[in-house]
Amino acid sequence: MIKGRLISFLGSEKKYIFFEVICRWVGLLLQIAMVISIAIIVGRWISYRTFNDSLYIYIAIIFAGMAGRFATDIFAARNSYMSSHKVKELLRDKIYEKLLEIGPSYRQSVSTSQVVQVTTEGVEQLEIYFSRYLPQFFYSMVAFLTLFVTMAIFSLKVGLVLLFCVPLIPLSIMSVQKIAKRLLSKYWGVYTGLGDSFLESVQGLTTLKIYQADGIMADRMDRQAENFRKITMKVLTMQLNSITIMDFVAYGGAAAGMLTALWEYTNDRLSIIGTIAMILLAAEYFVPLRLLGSFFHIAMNGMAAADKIFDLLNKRKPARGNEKVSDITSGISLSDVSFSYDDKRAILKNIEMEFTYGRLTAIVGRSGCGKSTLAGILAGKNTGFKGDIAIGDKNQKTLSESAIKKTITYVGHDSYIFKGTVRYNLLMGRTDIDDNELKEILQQVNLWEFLKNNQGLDTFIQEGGANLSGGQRQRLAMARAIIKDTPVYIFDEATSSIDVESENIIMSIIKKMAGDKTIIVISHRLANVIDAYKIYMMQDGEVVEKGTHSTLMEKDGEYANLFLAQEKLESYRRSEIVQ
Amino acid sequence: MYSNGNNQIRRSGYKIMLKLIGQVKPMLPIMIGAVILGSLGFLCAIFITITSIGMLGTIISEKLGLNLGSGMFFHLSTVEYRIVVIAIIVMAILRGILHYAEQYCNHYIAFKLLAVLRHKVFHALRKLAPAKLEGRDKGDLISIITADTELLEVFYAHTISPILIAITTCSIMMLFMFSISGWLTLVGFCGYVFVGAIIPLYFGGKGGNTGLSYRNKFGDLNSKVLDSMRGLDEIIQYDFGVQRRNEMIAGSEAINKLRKRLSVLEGYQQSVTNISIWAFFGIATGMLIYLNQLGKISEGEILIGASSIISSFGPVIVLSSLSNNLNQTLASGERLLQLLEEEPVVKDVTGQDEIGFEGLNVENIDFSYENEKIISDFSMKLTKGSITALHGPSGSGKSTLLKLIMRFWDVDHGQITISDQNVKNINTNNLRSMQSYVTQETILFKDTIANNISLGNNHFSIEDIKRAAKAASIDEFIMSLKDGYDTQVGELGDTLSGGERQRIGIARAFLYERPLILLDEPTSNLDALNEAIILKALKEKGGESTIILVSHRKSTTSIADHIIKMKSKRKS
Repeated sequence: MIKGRLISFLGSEKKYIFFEVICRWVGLLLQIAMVISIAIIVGRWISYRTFNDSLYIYIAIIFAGMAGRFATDIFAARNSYMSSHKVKELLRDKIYEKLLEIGPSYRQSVSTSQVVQVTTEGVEQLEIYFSRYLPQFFYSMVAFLTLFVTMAIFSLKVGLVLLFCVPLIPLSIMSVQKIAKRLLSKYWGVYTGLGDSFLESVQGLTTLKIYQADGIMADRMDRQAENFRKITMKVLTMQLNSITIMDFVAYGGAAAGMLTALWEYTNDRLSIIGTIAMILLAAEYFVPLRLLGSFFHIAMNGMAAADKIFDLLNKRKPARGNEKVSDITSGISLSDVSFSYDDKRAILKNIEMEFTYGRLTAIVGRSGCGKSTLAGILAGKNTGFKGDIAIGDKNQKTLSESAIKKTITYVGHDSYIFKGTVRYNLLMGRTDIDDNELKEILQQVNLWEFLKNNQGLDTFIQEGGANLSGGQRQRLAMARAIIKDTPVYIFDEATSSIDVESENIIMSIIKKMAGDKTIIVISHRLANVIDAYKIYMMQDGEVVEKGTHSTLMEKDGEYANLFLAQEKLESYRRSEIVQ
Repeated sequence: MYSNGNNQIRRSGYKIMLKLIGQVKPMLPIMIGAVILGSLGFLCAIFITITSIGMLGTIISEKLGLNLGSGMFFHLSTVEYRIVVIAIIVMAILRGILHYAEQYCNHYIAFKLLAVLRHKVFHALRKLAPAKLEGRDKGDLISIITADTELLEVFYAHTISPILIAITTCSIMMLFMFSISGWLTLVGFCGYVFVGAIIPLYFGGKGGNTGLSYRNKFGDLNSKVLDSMRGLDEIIQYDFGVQRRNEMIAGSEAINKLRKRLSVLEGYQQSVTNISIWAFFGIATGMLIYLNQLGKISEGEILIGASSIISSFGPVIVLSSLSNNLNQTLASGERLLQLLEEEPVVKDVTGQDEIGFEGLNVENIDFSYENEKIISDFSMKLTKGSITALHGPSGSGKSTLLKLIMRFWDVDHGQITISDQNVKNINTNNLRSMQSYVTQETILFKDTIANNISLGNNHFSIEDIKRAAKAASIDEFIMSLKDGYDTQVGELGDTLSGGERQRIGIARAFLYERPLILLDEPTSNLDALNEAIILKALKEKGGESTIILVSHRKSTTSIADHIIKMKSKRKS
């Protein structure tokens, strides 16, 4: 019921849980003192119909106990609050640290969407494990022992009756655990999915209405909600069953304890004070364990999330060298490079390539030919390839991670833009650059006109660049890449999802950059790379043709076929305007 | 108009609540059931204590030979003793069953409401769309609607019935107390109101603003974390990880103060609640003893009265955490009611003769939107089967014209006719069945590709869908996917490029085979090759359809038979 690794993981944050348990335990002791005082007052009054002077002492104990409870409640609440939030931050930070440590190749072990899911929902669920379940677990153990000892002092029999009932609660928890785990892992998260589909239907409502499909969608949503409801009620029934069983054990146990106390009293084996104290304490006896049971179900979800998080944290940092590139002018060359994701299907087969310094080299081919995998290898995202890659004067495998980052910049088709100002996004590339230079670069990528009409460099960008168009986002990403100023750039379909105007702007910048850099362009559109110094045509993970545009056209092979097909297609948009 | 953001509540909170309850009429019987079951459950729990105390008093008085007076069981025989014990056990079991049933009912309501409420909102939006979903704050509007709906679910499922249960249970308990003394009822009443209303409202008011700004800041921090995860590739590449980590740590430190304040308040509220209960218990006990001295009640009634006070605070304690969200919930409720009560911009037309498409005529139309003149004195005539391009700078009203043809709004002057019939007088279903519409960005749903093309319409066979996809040059791509047409779009994530999305949009339009296809900047987010693929498909596979193509780009308008230039009315 407890995971050792999860607790050791907490480190110094353990103290909050410890303090919380201590606070609540002190609170319990005060409660016991108050209950006994009440029992003494009532018992004496009933027996003698009079109070002696000690009444004031007991009343004082009750008031002191109340004041003490006030303090311990507040401290317990504060510690619980602190631990819950600390835990969340700690978990996120550890995961993040790990990802940064793994570096660009993290995707090979875990997908971005998985990371997002684990750091949001996963951490949220674990928070309940740490902030509710764990303190309750320790507290219920301590409380149970304390109450048992207290009761045994008055009457061993009553104590033993209650002790006998206690194991029934963990047993009833365990009995549903297996069913619970299966049901929950199956249905958890459907609720958020339902919310998403509602959002999506509202967003797409215009389309649906135009095609008169809004009714179909409404029916579908109703059905989804109905299915979800049925499933949830199943889960709920299961939970209610287990809670009800625990309730019966708890209330039944308490009743058994009380009746035993009364029985002992009628047979003169227990004083009236003891009887009253027993009855009041028996009610308290099962409360902590009962609460533990209800947290247990929520904590179960956290356990599943914990497995995922530990999987991630167990990942090893890929082995890398620690050399730096000292001379890049010899360009980049690949000799006999092969790669496979799963050791079965080869994605790249014996690739030989040469990327010349100061030139633009293109890799082209139909989708699925392996060109993006190759880009990933060059950028250090895919590790574990066979063969050798020379980057300048060094072998890629001997380079440190930071040496690769300082040498190569990768720009994909969907570069991420962060929430914050334009300046914030640009300075990611490099910080020692002034506003005038930033403006200049923004002018180059043709964004300045647009930004000038907003707040210039201070223009605020929403999460994921939501307030920019696709083309604007990509041009901003270009500016950020230019500012980083590395000797090697890889553009992987950098213009495939943007408007023609932005495409032309970005392509012309890329071409200009070639002067003192090694530029690698990957494109499905051949017209973009006609001027390339060298073009590699790939098919099924192999280089099938290489050369300049004109030599490849003369060859009249695969490249020429594709180029002509694309050119014919594009003639649709070339015809002159008839007015 | 629906206003968002700083909307003030025009109705009183009480009226909003009543109206909101009215919204879920079909659920009322179950809700009432839940309230009855819940109240009975609480009463069982309360009377277990009271009966036990009564029995205890009886045993003690018999043993000591005292007479505690009324309220006690007198001289129980062994049989009667057993009956009381059995009664307690039965109540304990009933308590379990009733609690079970109440929880079941309440969750049944919660999830049924999830369906009912969303159904209602979606139904209202269906009525108001498309005009309603146009305009500048579309994104805001959508997020507000979805957030409001979620908040209201909580209101219905976890706010209304606890309040009603508390009121019912407390009323019954006050009646019971009245059988002992009217004064006891008064103390009970004060106690319930103090613990169930005054304490939560006081702390709710005190912590409300802190809570709100904490939640907002916490939301910001969460979105920062998400941002850092989604952009992980870039962060690693640009060596920005340390900076992002520090920003996240700084973000959580910034909310530490608020967090501390809230935790202190929470602790105080809990402790004050506990102390108040004990205080009311003390007051009641003192008062009962005083009444006993005056000879108004028996000793037995002291025991029963005091135990009925201390054991009956359960239902009001539940209310203590409810007040925190109440203001937000009411604001959400108000927005929801406004939405449900809103009238559509254009009313649906029915009862006219069905007509076919024989050409479109736009005659001297004027149109203003939100006091801004968008189109003035514009005319055009389209013959059946032609391709017409509307060309012009942004702000010239090209997109608006398409929306007027689809009658999102009515024109201010002039008229738009289809087959010589004013669109205002064509049955709405008839008008829709003549038109299809492709926009800049094709919205995809979390469903299979086939269903995304057909929009879930069973009327089309998979062969129809394939034919349309082929015509839109997307069949080859779909077949290259592992599950072909059954591939879930969600699983593709961002691997679906802009060009592929737009081709799915075109396939939709082809599949529905409407005589008039309206395209609003269908290629503006595409590179030259993808643009060409779309244009080729339109030109060659458009068939008999009449096509209107809006674009600011000359290359796109090149496939048209006619090009109409629109001039900008706005200075931008």
